[in-house]
This record gives sequence, structure tokens and C-alpha cells, in this order.
Amino acid sequence: MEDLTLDVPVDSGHGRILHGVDLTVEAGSAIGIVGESGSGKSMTVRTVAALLPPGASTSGRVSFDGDQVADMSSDRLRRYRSSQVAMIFQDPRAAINPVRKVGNFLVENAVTNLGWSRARAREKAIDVLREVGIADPERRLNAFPSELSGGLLQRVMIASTLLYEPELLLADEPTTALDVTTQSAVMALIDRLRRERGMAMVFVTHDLELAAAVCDTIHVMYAGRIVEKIPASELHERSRHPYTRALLDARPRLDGRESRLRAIPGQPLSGLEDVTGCAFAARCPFAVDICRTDEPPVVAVETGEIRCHRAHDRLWGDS
Amino acid sequence: MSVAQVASVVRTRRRSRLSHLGVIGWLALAVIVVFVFVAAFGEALAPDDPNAIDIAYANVGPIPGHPLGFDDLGRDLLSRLLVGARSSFVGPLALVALSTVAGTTLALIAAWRRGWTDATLSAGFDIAFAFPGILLAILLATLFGAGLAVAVIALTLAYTPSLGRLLRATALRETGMEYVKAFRVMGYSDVRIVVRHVLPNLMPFIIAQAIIMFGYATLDLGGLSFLGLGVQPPTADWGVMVAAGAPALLQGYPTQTLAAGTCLVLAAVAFGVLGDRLARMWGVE
Repeated sequence: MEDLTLDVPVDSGHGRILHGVDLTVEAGSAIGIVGESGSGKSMTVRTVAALLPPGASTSGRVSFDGDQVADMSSDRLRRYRSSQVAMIFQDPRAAINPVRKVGNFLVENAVTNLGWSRARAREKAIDVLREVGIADPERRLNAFPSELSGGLLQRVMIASTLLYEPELLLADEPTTALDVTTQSAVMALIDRLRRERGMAMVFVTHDLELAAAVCDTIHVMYAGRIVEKIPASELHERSRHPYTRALLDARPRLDGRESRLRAIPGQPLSGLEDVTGCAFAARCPFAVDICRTDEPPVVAVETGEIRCHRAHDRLWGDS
Repeated sequence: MSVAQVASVVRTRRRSRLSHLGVIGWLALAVIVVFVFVAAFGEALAPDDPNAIDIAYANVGPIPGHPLGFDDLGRDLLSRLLVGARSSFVGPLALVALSTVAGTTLALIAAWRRGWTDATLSAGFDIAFAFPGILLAILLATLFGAGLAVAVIALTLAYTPSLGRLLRATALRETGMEYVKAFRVMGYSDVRIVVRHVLPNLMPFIIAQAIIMFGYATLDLGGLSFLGLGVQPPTADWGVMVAAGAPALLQGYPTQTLAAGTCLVLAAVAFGVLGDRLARMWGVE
């Protein structure tokens, strides 16, 4: 595999929720998409899996290894989904049919999509459950989803992707619905398995730290646009877009110097709203006239790309 | 908790859920079991030939060997009731089976495809729903002649949209679930997701609805037979018997109409109650 380029303005009939999103994932690399709720993060990854809301239409291109996802026949699309790309959902309790046993979930997947025999699928299912750190996998196969904790269930979800080792893993806030203590364990598991198997990953999250820790590149989204692309290692020190900075400032600090979190003033904008100029202008402390009238271009800077009129101005003392 | 403890908790929970049926629910179930048994073996149970006419006994009350007496043509009433159970239930069974299959299929298609498919089917349901089933039956009977088959077809056309409408709403919620999307991303075909996962998850709802529908079906088909549009005399059938007893009723011999009517009402109520209790027990009200 090798390369996924994505450029998707989605027009759901009511309005655009993604405005010219460009993403490239190299084989084996991980990119993170961060942003506020409603910024279009989930829609972006769902577009990659061709999982659009009914009636949605897209323009632009989503290609996987040279193939256009939008042009795939239903057979090809099924093969693409069943063998090349996998998705881990936010809430495993919702994403697994609650009335089927865990074993059924894993085995049916392998039998249907990979054409394995039931016996072999069962054996492999036990293997992958063990691999994701589930004790006593034989017994867990006979458990119903409601009998497992969220963390265990998310491990089952991850295990299901290991059955066929996709080239691209789409992780849509995989730890948000989990208990804080299991979050780090599940994330570490995803990170380890991904690296071991050389899978590429698109990781969607609210959590900047987490994204920076497991991804190579971070994409910051705001109102359906990617406003900054930056290597994960540079995120804290050298990010330049005012929105990225504001997000970083809004995190709680461990040293507890501030009693209140620094919120970003104003309401977050969803991609649906029509804006002239820069989507972030209304909340940006550095906005000047042009920000309110003209859509900012994508500007290449040393750290990556940003969408800002003032990309080259020294807004920050340290950059 | 140990495995055994968990298992025992699960078992108690099951038992307590079955007790949700309540006394009335169990009573309804018992009535239905009796009716089903009679419908299956009525002819063997009947003490007399249900069609043997003896005018000398017309409207004679209970005498030894004939606990319910005789109808207006001197036929043994108990035998006719027992034998009539089958014809009174075969129609509703066919009706419920046909309209459940049709209604479920259409509802699933509407919920899965959404968009204009859903809009078209929903509009179709609403229009068909607005048209009275009895009127449709009269229309079809005029066109094709009266008979049980015609009555069943007419009522199927009337019942399908009502189940379709109900089920569509539930199916919409089910197909909107995240697990359906997850299956799609795993490359499952649409048919597989719907048939293997969505449909089984809707089964409690469908079964409860079908049982409730069965109650209405016995009444409606009995009603059509009463009007002469369903089962035709001299076949023993509760609806036919209610109608046949009407003249005698006016002459002061209400036994036939009352007995057959009681059976019909009892069946309708029993199915309604059981369906309702099951729906409540399964949490699919």
C-alpha cells in the first residue's frame, strides 16, 4: 500500500462539512487528526472507509493505493473494507452487535470475509484475543458483549482487525468511551500492534498529548478544514496556527499554576456554517481585516503547512 | 463472583423475567395452548359428527351426551365448536404469516435504503393503512367471489402496512446503530447485515407484534365469515356459527351465537394479552 490521498469536500445537501481536506498517509505511518467536536474529524475518517451518511455526496478524491474509493464497485468496496482498511470505533459497546457472542463476532468476520473454516477462524480468534491481552480467551468467546467491560470490548474490536491485518487502521477516538485507566492501556496496545505489523493509522482524538505520542504527523482541524499540519515532535514548541496554540493553551497544566483553564473565546464553528474569510477569525486574537474577508491560503512553513493569512508574521515570541 | 455465582444470578434473572408474564399472561398462554390443541385435534375430540343434521333436535338445550345442546339444524354444538376451531385459526395463521413476512420485508427495505425508497414505502403504508380492511375484503369478495382465501388476501393487504409502519420505525433505529456501520466497514454485504444481524435483533418485536396481530386476525376473519365473506357454511367455523345462530337468538335460543362468540373473543383477548406481556417482557413495547 502505499499512499492515501484524500481531498473531500462533502456536501450533505444542507451544506459542506468538510472543506477541501488534504491528507496523505504513507504506508506504516500514523497521522493524528485533532480538533474540537464538530470539526469534521470523524467525517474525514469515515469518508476514507466510504461510510457516509445517507444522501451525502462528495467531490474530490479519496484514493487508496491508486484506487479511487468512490469509484469502487460494490465488490471491490467490500474487498477494500474487509481486507485493506479497518476501523476502530469510539464506543465498542455500540459498535458490536450486542446480542451475539464475542466469538460469533470474530468468527463470522473471518468466515465471511476471509473464507476460513469455522474451526480455523475459532483458533485464530483465540490467538488474536490472547494477543490483545485478554486472559482466558476460550471462555471470552462465549461471553456476550454486555458481560465484558468497555476496555475488554475495545480489545475485542482491535482483535477483530488483527484477524486480517489491514494496511490502514482508522481509529475514531478509540479511547474516548473508556475508563481513564484503561485508556492508556488500550492506546498502548493499538500503538504496539500497529508498529509491529507496519499498519498505517489515522488516529482521531481530542487529546493533543495522546496524538503527539502515537502519531508521526498531527493535523489540526477546525470547522471542516485542516488548519495546521505539523510533525508530532514539533507540535508543542513550534506550532504556529493561532487555533493550534489556543488548543494547546486550553489544556490543563499539571503544575496547577492556573486555577481556570484558558478557554477559547466564542463558539466553535461547525463546517456547516458559511463563513467568509478565515473560519477561525471570529475567535482569533490576531485576526486582521483580511482574515474576515478572504479565505486564507495553505501556506508552507518550515514545520509543515498552515492555513492562515498571518503565517509569516511573528505572532509568537518563540517561533 | 465465581462463574457459578454469575450463572446463578443469570438464571434467577431469567426466572424473574419469565414471571413478568404474570398470572394473566400465563392464563392467556394456557388458553392459547388449549385452543391450539383443539384446532389440531378437534375432529378426534368431537363427540359427534358436527355436520349430522337432525331437525327434531333443532335448538334443543343441553341433554346428557350433548352438554351444549344443538344448533338450529339440530347439529351437536360442542362438536361444531371443537371442529370449528381449526377453520377459525387456519385463516388467521395464514393471514399473520403472510402479512408479517411482507410487512417485515418492506419495513427492512425502507429502513435500510432510506431516502426516496423509504419515503415511497412510508407513503404507501399510510395510504393502505387509511383504507379499511373490511371494505377491501368486500370489494375483493365482489370481484373474486367470497371465500377464506380471498378474505385472507384482503386482510393481508390491510395488515401489512400497519406492521410495516410500526416495524419501520424500530428498524430505522436499529439500522442506525453503530454496529451496523462497523459491519459495513468490515466489508459485510448489505443483505448479510440485515438478515443475519438486524433482523434477529428485531425478532422479539416482530414476534410480539405477530401474536397481537393474531388476536385481531381471529376477530376480523371471524367478522368476515359472519358477514358471509370468509368461511362458507356449512363448514363449522366460529364466525359462521355466530351468524347462523342469529335467527335462533331472536327466537330466544342464544346458545350457538354466545358459545361461538365467546370462543372468538377469548382467543382474541388471549393473543392480545400474551403479545402485550411478551413485548413488555422483552422491552419492545
